[in-house]
Amino acid sequence: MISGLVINLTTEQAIAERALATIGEHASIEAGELQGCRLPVVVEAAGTEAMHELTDWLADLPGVEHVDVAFADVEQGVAAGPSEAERQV
Amino acid sequence: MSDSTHNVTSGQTRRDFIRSAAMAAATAAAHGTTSWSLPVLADETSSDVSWNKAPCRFCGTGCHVQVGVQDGRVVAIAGDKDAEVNKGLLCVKGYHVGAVLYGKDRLTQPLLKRGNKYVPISWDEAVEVIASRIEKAPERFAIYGSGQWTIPEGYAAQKFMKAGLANNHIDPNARLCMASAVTGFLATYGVDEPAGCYDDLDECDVLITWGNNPAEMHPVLFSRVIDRRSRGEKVTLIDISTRRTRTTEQAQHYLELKPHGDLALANGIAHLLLKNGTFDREFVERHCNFKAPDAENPNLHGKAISFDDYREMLEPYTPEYVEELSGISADDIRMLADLFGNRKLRITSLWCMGANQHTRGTAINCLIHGVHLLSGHFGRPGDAPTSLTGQPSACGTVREVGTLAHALPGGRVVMKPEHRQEAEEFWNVPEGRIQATPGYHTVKMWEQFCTPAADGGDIDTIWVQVTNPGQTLPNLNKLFYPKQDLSEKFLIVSDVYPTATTQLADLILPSAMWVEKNGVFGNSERRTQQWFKMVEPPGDARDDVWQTLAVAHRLFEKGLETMRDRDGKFLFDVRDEKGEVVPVWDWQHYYDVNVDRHLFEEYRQFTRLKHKDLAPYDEYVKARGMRWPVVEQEDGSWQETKFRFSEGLDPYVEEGAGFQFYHSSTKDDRAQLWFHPWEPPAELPDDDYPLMLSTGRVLEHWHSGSMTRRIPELGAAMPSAYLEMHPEDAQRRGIRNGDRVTVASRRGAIQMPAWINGRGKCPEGTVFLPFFDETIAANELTLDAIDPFSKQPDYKKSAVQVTRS
Repeated sequence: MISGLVINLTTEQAIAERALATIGEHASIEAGELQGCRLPVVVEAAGTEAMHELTDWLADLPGVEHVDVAFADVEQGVAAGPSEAERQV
Repeated sequence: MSDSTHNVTSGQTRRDFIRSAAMAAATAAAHGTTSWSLPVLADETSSDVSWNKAPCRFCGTGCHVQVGVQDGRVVAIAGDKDAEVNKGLLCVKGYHVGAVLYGKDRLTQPLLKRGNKYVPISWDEAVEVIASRIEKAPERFAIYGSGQWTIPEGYAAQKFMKAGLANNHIDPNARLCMASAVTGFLATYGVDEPAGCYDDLDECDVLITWGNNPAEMHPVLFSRVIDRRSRGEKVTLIDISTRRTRTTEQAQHYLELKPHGDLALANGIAHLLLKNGTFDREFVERHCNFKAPDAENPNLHGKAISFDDYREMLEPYTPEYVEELSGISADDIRMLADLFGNRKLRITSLWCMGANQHTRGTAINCLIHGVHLLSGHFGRPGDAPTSLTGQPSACGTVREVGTLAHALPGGRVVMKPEHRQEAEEFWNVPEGRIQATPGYHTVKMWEQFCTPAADGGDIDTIWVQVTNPGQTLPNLNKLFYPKQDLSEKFLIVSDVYPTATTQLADLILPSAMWVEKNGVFGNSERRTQQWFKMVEPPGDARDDVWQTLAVAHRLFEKGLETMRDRDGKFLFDVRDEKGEVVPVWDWQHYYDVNVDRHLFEEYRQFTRLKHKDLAPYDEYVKARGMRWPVVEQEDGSWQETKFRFSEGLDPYVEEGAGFQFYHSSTKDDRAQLWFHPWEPPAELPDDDYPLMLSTGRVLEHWHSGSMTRRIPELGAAMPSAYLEMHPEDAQRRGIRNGDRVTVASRRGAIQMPAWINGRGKCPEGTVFLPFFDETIAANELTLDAIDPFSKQPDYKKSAVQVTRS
């Protein structure tokens, strides 16, 4: 599963720099070009749960104010509403 | 989706392609611009893609997207950088809105239930079935519509019912989400809808969310505030809520509220403003009257009271007493009162379902307005009490077109003879055609439908358009499921996908959706937004407006007199430029003219009475929406209004007035400042049902999930519903994360997995359940108690028990 996220960093420069360094070291995260306090990243994870964990890890990182989802994609799994079996007819 | 090694463009793997698209999306969002387009649906894009604007199909924010179409198919979606609402940004639902057209189980032909099977029938047969059903007993027929109706769809249905059938049994699902906001505005200002707009979010110093989670429900609006903070601006965010959410994560203050504690809190703030002398005496003396509920004659406008009466009624609401009622500490109540008492600050309040889905919804809406009026935090950019809506045209269609059982277009009501007369003039129907008695509101309509005719159930046929009551009505075991055992009742459902509602339908009609048809929406900030049809609907799916006109014309052909106007012409007479009748009831000719334009121009005549003036249709074609009142200028241009009732900002405020509430219910240009007492919820936890259940939405899914669950990315990100629990409550019941649990109320029982301290965090004694999942019908549990004025149910406070399954 691949997501494009925007990480909103604190305006406190030293803390933001530490957060940037930590994010840059993470093997599953590719950082883009910093735009002011906003860092675009691509995150790749094995599935939805792993993606949630990674996003939560980012959101909890000191210096990270907020994480926005700009893109979400999955390479497998198609949701097409409930199946007939799930329906109660 | 194709396989991960598929070549997309020269030498690129699909994974590379997705990664580059993800980075492009994130970079564009980080820039706050979008020169980029998102290829969410096609593996390849080319310069053959044509682009056009449309508002997003989902929530009430009203973001504009650019829709990329290639070979008759939507292939790309981008945020619209020219749109003031979203400035090029979109939330995760918006980025995937194009995919909503292409779920694999779209309805593509009319289906009639015969025995236990659905058989395909022609449109001609379907129209005949409906017309015959209505012809037999027009007064026992009802339409149940939606805040997702476009303005022309709602207007056509409204005219069809109230003028064409002389029947007021038309009500929308918006009754379930924002009716209390309407009654709050009417009781306070004498006219509906917010005075301010989203620009308040760019100007406020303090943002207070009252039982509202915009980080997930209106994320693009929330990002406007977060963006300001990212740029170093100081914005204090105060989250008043019954559970921690993603909004809480951004808040400097989280004030955890007991259910119905909001009533006490608002009174507590008002108490301190008076006690401390920090209320805005000049504003109040010049622009406000005082009101309280009239116990002997309960009505929306209550009884007049004096300032001294008001002060006396608030006297018991000391910080300590309010702490007891609301759960919020006395210090935090004082902190709020101090903020409101500081006129240098600009304070915006936002609320949505938390305040509206409330058995005292009208009261809490009035009290929030009251705190702003009392403190003078009103009428300057950034100083505003602003309710949000959950659906894309709850305001434009339901509140403005008036598709409610008691309403007529443009803020009129059926009970007033002069309003009926004006509507009869506009519609050119005989005097007395429109009935003076309101029809059934939503809960009553479904109760009557689910009651045998022999027992007084006097609604036999309901036509559901653009909504899913089989999942979203409260107390489904009472208000929906009984239909399956009532053979004399007939349910017609126009929709785009199979839903919980189509499961009990007798006739299913396949509808066109979003950019498969022309449309006009009206968002939460009074902004009217137009778009054109861009692609063909699948199979034999057709526009909802056409469906209404086709049935109306069949009744006209059958000789139903009420389908004629005073001149004997068909009620929906549409003429071309040469004055020739266009047979728009015939699908082959429906797009010979722009029926939306015709209906919109007719509807526009209604909008002047309450100063909700709309510009001509063609002005909206050029714009990314305009906020009413839209007033023509001397040079022939059309000017929108951002802030109402303030001199210099609202063209209808007289010079020297400062503020003028020109639709005041007391006819003196004053707003009404209300006292309402704290009252407990309709149902409280007890030994048998010890936990309080709240229901709601999640970021990835919209409304009943019938669209978003069919978008693979969103479905995968949040596949099914869950019960959010506090760890202590879970431990006490031997429940671990992911365990399947049974949740039971006095009305029903359902099963689902538990999520302990999940995305949101419930306080001990409460649980939360999202309602997007058709397979986990949250509304089998909910209570159908309603607010006495708005008739809106409370989905946030049902007593339940939880056990490990």
